[in-house]
Amino acid sequence: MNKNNQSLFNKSAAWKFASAAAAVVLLIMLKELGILSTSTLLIFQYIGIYAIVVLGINMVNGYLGVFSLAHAGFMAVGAYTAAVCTKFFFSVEWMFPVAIVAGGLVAMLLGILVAIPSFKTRGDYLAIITLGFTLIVQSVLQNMEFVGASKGLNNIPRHTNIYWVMGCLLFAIFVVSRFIHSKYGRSLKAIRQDQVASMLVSVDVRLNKSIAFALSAFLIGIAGALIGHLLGYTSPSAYGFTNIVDGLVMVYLGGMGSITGSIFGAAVWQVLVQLLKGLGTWRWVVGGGLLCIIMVFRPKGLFGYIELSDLLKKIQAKMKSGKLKKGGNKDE
Amino acid sequence: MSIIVQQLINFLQLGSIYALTAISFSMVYGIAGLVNFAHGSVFGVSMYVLFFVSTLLFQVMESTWLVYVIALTASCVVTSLVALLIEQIAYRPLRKAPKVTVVVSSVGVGMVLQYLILNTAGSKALRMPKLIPDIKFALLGVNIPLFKILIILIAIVTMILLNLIVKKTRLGTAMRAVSQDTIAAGFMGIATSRVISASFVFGAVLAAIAGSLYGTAYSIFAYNVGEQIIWWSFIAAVLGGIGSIRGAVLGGFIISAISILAPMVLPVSSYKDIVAFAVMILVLLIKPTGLLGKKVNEKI
Amino acid sequence: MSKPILSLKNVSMHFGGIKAINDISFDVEQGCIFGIIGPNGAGKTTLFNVITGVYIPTAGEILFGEKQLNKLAPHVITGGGIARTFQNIRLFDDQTVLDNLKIAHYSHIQYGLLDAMLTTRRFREEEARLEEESLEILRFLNLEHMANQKAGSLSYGVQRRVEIARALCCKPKVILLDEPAAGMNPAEIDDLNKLIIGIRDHYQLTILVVEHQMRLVMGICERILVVNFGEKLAIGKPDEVKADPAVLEAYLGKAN
Repeated sequence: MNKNNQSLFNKSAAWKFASAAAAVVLLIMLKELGILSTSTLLIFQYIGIYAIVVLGINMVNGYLGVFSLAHAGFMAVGAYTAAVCTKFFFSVEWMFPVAIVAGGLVAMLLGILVAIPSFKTRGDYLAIITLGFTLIVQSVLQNMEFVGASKGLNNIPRHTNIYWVMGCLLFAIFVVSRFIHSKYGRSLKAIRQDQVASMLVSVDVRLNKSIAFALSAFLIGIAGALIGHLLGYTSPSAYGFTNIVDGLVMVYLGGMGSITGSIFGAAVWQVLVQLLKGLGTWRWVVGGGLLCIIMVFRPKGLFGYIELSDLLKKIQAKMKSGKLKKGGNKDE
Repeated sequence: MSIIVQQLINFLQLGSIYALTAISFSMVYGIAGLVNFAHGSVFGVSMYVLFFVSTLLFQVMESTWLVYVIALTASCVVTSLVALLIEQIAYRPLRKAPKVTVVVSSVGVGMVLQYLILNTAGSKALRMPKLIPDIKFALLGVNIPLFKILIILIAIVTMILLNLIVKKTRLGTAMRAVSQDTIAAGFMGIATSRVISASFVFGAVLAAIAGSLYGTAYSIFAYNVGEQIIWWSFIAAVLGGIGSIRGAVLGGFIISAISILAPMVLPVSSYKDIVAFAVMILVLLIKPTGLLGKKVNEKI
Repeated sequence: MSKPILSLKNVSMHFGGIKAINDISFDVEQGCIFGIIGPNGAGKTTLFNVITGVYIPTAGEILFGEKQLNKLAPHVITGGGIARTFQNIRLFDDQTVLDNLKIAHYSHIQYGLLDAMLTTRRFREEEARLEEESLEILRFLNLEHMANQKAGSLSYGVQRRVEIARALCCKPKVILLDEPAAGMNPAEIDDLNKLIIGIRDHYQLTILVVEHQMRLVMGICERILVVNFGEKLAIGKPDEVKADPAVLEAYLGKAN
């Protein structure tokens, strides 16, 4: 019976990915048919990019359960690295993937560095350390003439388009879903619940924390690369406290430790941001307030540690049992 | 010689301000067990109240002392009210929730407050009126402005008073009990929830006093003033050991020393952030609870 | 006799001025069920913590076969063959019993990150193997029907058995049980005794057990170490220990 379970679960993971891919194909078809306006398409790109960011944040804040505020720093590093690549070294479009990967990799190196304090220090301190990391990245960028100091980089080639964004998003979904269904993902969940017990059932806590941070930073770095090449400019001020809060809002809105939730959170918040454009700086008041409201009423987010497929399964099971009751023992 | 004396005074002045803000942040942590990311914005609120009240008063009266006292009182009251309001809305419903939830909520509140300030008071930098008469006197051949000495004195007096309150009063005893073990303190008949609220008021008052000192010392500020100063006092508090008042004072002065010494050696002055941060990480790697923080042994 | 599988040589563990363990030495032979008893706060759990690397002993040497364990990290020691259970049960409450067991396979799973990403054959085979092995252990402990239940929802007694099952998944040679019979009635203890002997024989283990319940200690332990205030009071066969005047004094007070 359990053999069955195993294959069933594998199938559902594959199915999950296939449905995400189908959605992307549909989106691109709509674009090609000219049904989507440019502005709608832009929103979809934002959603895609931030969904990658949220997946990355979820790696550490959700699955591993460590409260980190390093994501704005990782994103900045990804954006700058990629922008420097395309601006100064190779601006031909077909080299763009190299720049994306470079952005991800440099962010990943810093991610491993940030993981080190998480081995020993308590959660509260880590929030401060990771915030510090973000602020340091910002301050270093502000002082580097080479990348335009506080003015930032302009005229970055606008390579990002819907294909790149959705391709990267599918990649991110694929990597995260494979990861969490392996021994590494299981270890993260174990560490989240009880670090000491995890160690004492042979889980290498340091290694797994490092991997989680590395993967998280890699994904967020990729997203940074995409956003830089979407907007055509990047500046240190974009990666401060406001960016941190944006990330948190999307993670907690969608749900901790959930792929479905990550995409959902990014989608809802990006659409909301577009609708709130008229509010100007009041949008941050709304964002902060929303974060509090989520915390008070639904602290794990809408999809906290659940996936859409789990929900569907539950509904299916309920309907089945309902049918059984009505129809007697028909199935037996 | 004169440079050394001047820098020494600067060090003491900055250290006092950091120490006060670090204590104000650390107290809430010690008692409510919360890394309060909204504290910077509370500090910002105190500066703006101080600014508006003192600017208004200066139009009708001349005595700087009186203005200072009234404006500071107003700022303490308003800041406390704001802190209490935040506590009621965003923290109290989460007393039983996991710690992280409250921390995230505090990040949200901080954001709301900071941008409320921005949207109501504008984004341009303001100049705090002179709250302490501009008198200078000579000491060891250096002209020292009176306000620098007063800042140090006010900070010291505040710290002594706080120490007395924590050590000698009933409320102080209750606070220490709650900070050691909230649940046990509850069983002993202490109204823990009220003590926690009180700690927010204390934190707010200390932040307001520190805000008035900061305004006097540096005069120029903008809506994001809290972000900077609180970041430094975060580091100071963590360095000294969060939750420990003596640790916060120690951390405050270490950070002050770094921010005065580092620019002398470093090419870019804002790299002092990195030095201070590196020192904090180093201390945490060696002593995970900070210099004077208590070691927590988990029972297995 | 054969070489000891685990031996402690003059091990001390001091916390500041407190001597939780002071200069304790003993050997455990392979295949033995070894009891550690003593009053509350005598240092029994600390002994387990020192063996499994939670604490680094302040002095002395811990040998597992030929290997010195002193400065190894807990996960290395556990992966290397010494698993344990906890006095205050530490299961991963939100996860199913089966997932709890799967986590404990960590050290001997033979696939890497890339295998997991690409769902290689090795990944699939290993996942199938560890599921099968977990289920087999559950079967042996009569817990198979609980496999898909949340660990936190189980009764106290079942949780204790799941902890033993989880420890077995680390593929240990030595297993340390920290008060496995706490809160059990005599009938349950008799069952537990049978279970402990059963797993020892089936998995060819050496078992160290800290316990207050004399029914368990005297029932199954082949050798017993008595500790008091961090010091070794006596060591020997159950009958020898029972008759030891120092032990009687510690437990019952001075005779006259």
